[in-house]
Amino acid sequence: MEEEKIVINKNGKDIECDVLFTFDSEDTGKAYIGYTDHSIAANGRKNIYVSAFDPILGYGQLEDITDENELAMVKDVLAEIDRQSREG
Amino acid sequence: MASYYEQVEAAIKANEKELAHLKDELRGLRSVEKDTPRESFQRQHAQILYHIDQEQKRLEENRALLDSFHTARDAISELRASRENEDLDKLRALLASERDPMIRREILEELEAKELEHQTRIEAIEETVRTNMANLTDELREELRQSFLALNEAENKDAIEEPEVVVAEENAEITEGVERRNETGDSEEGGTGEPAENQENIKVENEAVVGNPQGTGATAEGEDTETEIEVEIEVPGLYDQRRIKLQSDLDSASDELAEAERALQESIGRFQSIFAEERTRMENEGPFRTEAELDDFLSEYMRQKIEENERFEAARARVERAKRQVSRIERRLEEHATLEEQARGYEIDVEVLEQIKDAVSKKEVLDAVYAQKGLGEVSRRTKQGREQADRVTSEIVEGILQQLREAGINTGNITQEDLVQSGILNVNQNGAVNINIIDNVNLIVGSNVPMQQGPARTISMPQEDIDTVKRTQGIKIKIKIVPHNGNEQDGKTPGKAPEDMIGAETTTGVEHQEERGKVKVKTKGQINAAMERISKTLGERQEALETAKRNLAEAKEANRSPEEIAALERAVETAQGAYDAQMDKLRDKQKEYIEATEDGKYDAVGTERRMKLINGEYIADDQSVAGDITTLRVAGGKDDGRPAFTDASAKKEGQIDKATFERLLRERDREQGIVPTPTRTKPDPTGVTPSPSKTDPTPSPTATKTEVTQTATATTIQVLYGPPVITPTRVEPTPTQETPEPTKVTPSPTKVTPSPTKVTPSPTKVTPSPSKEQQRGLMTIMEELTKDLGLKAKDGKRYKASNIKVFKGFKDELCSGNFLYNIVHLVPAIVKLPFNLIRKAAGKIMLRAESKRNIAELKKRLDKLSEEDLMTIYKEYRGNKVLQERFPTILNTLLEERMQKFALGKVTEINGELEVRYQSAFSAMHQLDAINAELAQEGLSDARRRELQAAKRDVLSGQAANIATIRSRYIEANNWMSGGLHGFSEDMKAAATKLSLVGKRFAKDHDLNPELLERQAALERAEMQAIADGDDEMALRVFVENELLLSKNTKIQGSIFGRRSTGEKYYSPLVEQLDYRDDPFIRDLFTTIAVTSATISTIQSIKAARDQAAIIAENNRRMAQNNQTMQQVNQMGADIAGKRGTMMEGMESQGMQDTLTSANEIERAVLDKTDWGLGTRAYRTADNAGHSYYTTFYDSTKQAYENIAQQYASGQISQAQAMQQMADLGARTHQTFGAINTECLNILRPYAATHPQFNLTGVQGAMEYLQANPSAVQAMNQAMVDVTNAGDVLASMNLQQLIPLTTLPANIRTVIINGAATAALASNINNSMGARKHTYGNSVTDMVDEYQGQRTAEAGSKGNTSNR
Repeated sequence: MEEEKIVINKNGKDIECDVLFTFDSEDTGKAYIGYTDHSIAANGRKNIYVSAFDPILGYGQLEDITDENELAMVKDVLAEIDRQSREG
Repeated sequence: MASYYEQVEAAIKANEKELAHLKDELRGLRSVEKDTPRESFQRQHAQILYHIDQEQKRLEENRALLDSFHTARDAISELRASRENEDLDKLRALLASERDPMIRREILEELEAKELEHQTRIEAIEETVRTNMANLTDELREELRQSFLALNEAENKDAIEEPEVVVAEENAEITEGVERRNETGDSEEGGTGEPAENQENIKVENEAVVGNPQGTGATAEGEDTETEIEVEIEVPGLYDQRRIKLQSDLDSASDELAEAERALQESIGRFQSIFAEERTRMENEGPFRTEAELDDFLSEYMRQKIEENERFEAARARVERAKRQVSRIERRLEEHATLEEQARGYEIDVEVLEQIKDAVSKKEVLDAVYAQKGLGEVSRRTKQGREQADRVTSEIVEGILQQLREAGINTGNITQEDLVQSGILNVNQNGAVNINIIDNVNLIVGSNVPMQQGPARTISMPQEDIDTVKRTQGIKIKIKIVPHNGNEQDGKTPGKAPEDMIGAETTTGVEHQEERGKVKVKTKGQINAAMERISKTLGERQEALETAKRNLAEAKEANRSPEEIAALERAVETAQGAYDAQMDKLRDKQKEYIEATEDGKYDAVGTERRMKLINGEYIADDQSVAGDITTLRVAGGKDDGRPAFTDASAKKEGQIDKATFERLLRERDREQGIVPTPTRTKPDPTGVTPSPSKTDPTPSPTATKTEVTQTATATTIQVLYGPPVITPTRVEPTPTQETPEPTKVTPSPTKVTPSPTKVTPSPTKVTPSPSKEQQRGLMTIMEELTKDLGLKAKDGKRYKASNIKVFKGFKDELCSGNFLYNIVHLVPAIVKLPFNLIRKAAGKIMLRAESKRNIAELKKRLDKLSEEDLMTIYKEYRGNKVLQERFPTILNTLLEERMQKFALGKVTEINGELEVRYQSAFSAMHQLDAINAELAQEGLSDARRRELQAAKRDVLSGQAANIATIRSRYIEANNWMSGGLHGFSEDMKAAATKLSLVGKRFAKDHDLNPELLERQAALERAEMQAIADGDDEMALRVFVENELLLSKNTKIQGSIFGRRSTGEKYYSPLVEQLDYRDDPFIRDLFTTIAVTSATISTIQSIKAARDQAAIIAENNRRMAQNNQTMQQVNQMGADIAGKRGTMMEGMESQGMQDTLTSANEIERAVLDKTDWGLGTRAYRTADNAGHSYYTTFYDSTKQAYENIAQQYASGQISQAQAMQQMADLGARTHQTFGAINTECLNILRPYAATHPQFNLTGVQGAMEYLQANPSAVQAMNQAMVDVTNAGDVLASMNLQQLIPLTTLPANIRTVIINGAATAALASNINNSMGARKHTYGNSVTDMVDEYQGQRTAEAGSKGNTSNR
């Protein structure tokens, strides 16, 4: 897929982020987006931000993911993406 | 001083002597056993046995030591002798003297073969030496070594005297190019001391002296102790065809490289010439005065430079190619050389080594697979793995095809590629074969594109053309399968879209953005833009809605006037309405967009599939069928692909559905007033057309519009095209129609010819009361439930994450592995979120959202169902109906929920009634008791008695009926709960998994066809109305049409997997339980699987056999390992079995001890019984009896043991049998002892209780323990028997029992086992099927088919069109 970017406002500044992946889930009825501003955390790891949005109402609105099951699903998806990318 | 060997020999003699002495002692002790105190005897006996055991061990160890010594010594001697091999020497001499190269080659081959054989033997002997030397003690080992050293020294003296004898035989000419090698690693300085010129090109082998494994002897020190000189001639690669070929290729490639470099150099030279000439001319002719002159000059040389540059680039590319080629071949040569080296090291052929490597790589791949989660998790990450998988796949599939052919299954020209690409077979890397059951597979010979499921089209070329092209061009003609693209003529590009389509909204892919002629279509981009606009408006509407809501809340909070609040509420409603409307728009657009992007959907106008409307002249046979493409030509337009029709729904060409298509056809028919001719009906080849009888009430089966005059008012039933239009008035039969006589004919249970004049479907005529309100039928209810919901077969199924889309940069980053990540979830303030992205992310969830809305609507409709409707569903909606009518799973799921509610309501209702009835019964009982009590009183007046009797009658009145009702209602409630509700639930589950008793497991899934359901519902309503009206004929007609409708939509098709139902219905008129034997699909499938599985087993077996040679080396290695393991196992078994004697002695001792302890206990019991009155008469009597009992017990036990020993000694029974008998005897002895113990315990207990001055708890506890565990000793004895028997098995176990399975890869084992099991199952099924016919259907379907055939034949004779 071609590159996509979103712009978020972080601490009063507009920051352009690269979209890394998207997916949806019928269980929750939501779509999910993973993106990064390429910032590196204190532990030396790159930050990936994940948010959810309503695929129907989601214009310009993102939701926080607080449910553990949803977060577990996000992790599963990341693992799957990693696996697939390594296998080419 | 005696040698250590002699010491060991002496020790053995001493062991034997001591052992003999101990045995004598044991015999002596046993002979005086009666005279020896028990305890003393036992102690001595045990001691002697222990010493015997110890001495025996020592003896065995010493003997083993000497055995090893002897074996090692013999082996070394043999080894020494083997090194002198006369045959080899002769051959070497022969080789040295022979000049003819061909003969030399033969000799060399023979020599190599014999050397290999010789070497193998020597290695085996060396192994024996090593093993036995390892078993020796240091002293013995040293002695052995020294003895051979001394021997060697003596021999070396002789050998050194004439060393030149061997070398002198070597011929300088023949050893030219022969490699000199010292395999022991000694340098040439450590050689034989021969003159250097004689040693050149001669391999001198300095063997280490045998018997000196530690290398500490003189020979290992490099001293001149060689015993032999061996010459070996090697000419590496002399006859290696592969090396020769590679070398030849390398030469060619090198030549090509040289040529390419020369061409490159020439080009460079020409370049230099051009530049030089340019400079020269410029100097000579310049300076240029005008720009034109300069341009002309430059352009001339520019052209030359460009031309030369092309040549230069070509030459450079050629050089690069040649270099790569050279490099490739050199790499191969290196690999080959490495392989050769390895093969030489292993002393096997290169080919064999390659096969071994191949086998090993397979194993590695399989190991990797098994290391993962299971067979499904197959890694293909390595190139080797992929290649291996492909190879395995290829072999298996090819084998399957071959076996399928041999099994008589027509595979045509199907290739393995076809099979794999079509998705039929999916062979995992581990060799497991998945068989995918799919619907239709079009297998086209030589196809080079993935197989298409469903309709496909071939671009054909006349055979003559193919032959011509083949002949003249020498190329292979491939027939491709391509998806049909609609309006274009076959094999050509799509035609123009019609003008009236310009501007029509439709969907198209981005790739169709360009204008096609005059056609303008809306692209995804346009839809996208429209969505952006709608979305913005939606945002505005949302803001307006929120503002309105906020205003309303504020007004309420501020306690504004009711009028003001009402106005604000209206404003909220209005805003909400606007928002909803906008949202609907957005949803529609999103759906449109998604459909446009979905694969397999129709693209631009003019490229749609399937139903093709061609605008052209009217042709009588206007519905042409080519392949799966049905073309309808519509009159009135130009023949340029444009439809002339004006139907609004058909404006979007390409989105026309089948129903519309057929409707257009019908409308056209009506407009033209022409009855179309049948297009697919074959006329009766005999030419005999059955004349329809006047009395035949059957409607003409071929008429598309059947007019049945039944009353004064004509009623038209469009039974074939759509829902019938039926007047609800009672229909009288026509005078010409005969009314079937209900009582005349009894329907035959077998095949019945549907002649209406003879056959009565029901012996009793059913004429429901017309006044009764007509109940709705199942189809009607279902139609209303599902109408416009577009339920799909897979609706309602759940899954987690889906539609995962990964952006390229992220993939690359993950591949690089440079980062670790934190997952942070937050809600940032979004400045810009491309709408396009949202749609990409949303994907199919939009459609799912719609699906959810539909499901919600379905729930609402279900909730609204009346009691009668629910009752109808409860009675009629069963598993077979679900399968037959293709009702979607979600409908079943929701229906199940609804029916549970309904059934529980029924149960609750009955329970309420039962409560009342119980109350009545118990109340009556109370009253009855009271009345009876009063009646029992004396002095009751007659009047009172009569009164009470009457009251009693009143109370009892109706109780029997009440109880009967309780019972029946209870059963009814139970049926609702267990049979009904549970049954319904289970039936739905079974239907969902297609595992219900009605079978049909392998019928194809179809979505519910609403159009068909609508027609069924209409027919159902007509049938019910006719029945309600008592209209026999109408009922019969509609009934038959309904059956025909179902039958026509049931399509049983053959495929390479057997016959399956692919139609939209699965018509099965008889309610029957189809077991596996009756279900043709299952039968065929089983047969197929069985054949395939058996095939795979066979293939694998063949493959295994073929690979046998290749894996010999690998097996040998495994065998060596396994042998070692087996030796350990055998040893362990021997050790266990060797303990048998010890255990038998233990058993005997145990048995004898039981008898002894019995005596003691009896003694004690006698004393206890007589209150320790020693010497009393009672005591003596009891004591005598006890002695007598004990003596008998002892004698019989002893006799029994002796009998066993005697049998064993005489060879009548084996040691194992003897042990088993001893165990049994021990068990019986112990049983007797147990009985005595119990008896004595009964005496001890009261005694102990009355004699508290004696502490008898220990005695009593021991006896009670024995009583509580009567089988402990027995179990112990049996365990000993079992263990030693197991030891026997282990000791005798050999690799031959294990290798066949252990060496097979697990997947092959599985396949073989599965294959065998399935084949057995299929065989059983086939056997048990017996003489049953092997075709789908039953008597009723035959009847329907026959009737339908008759109608078709009649229609053919009339020249009418028959269509659905």
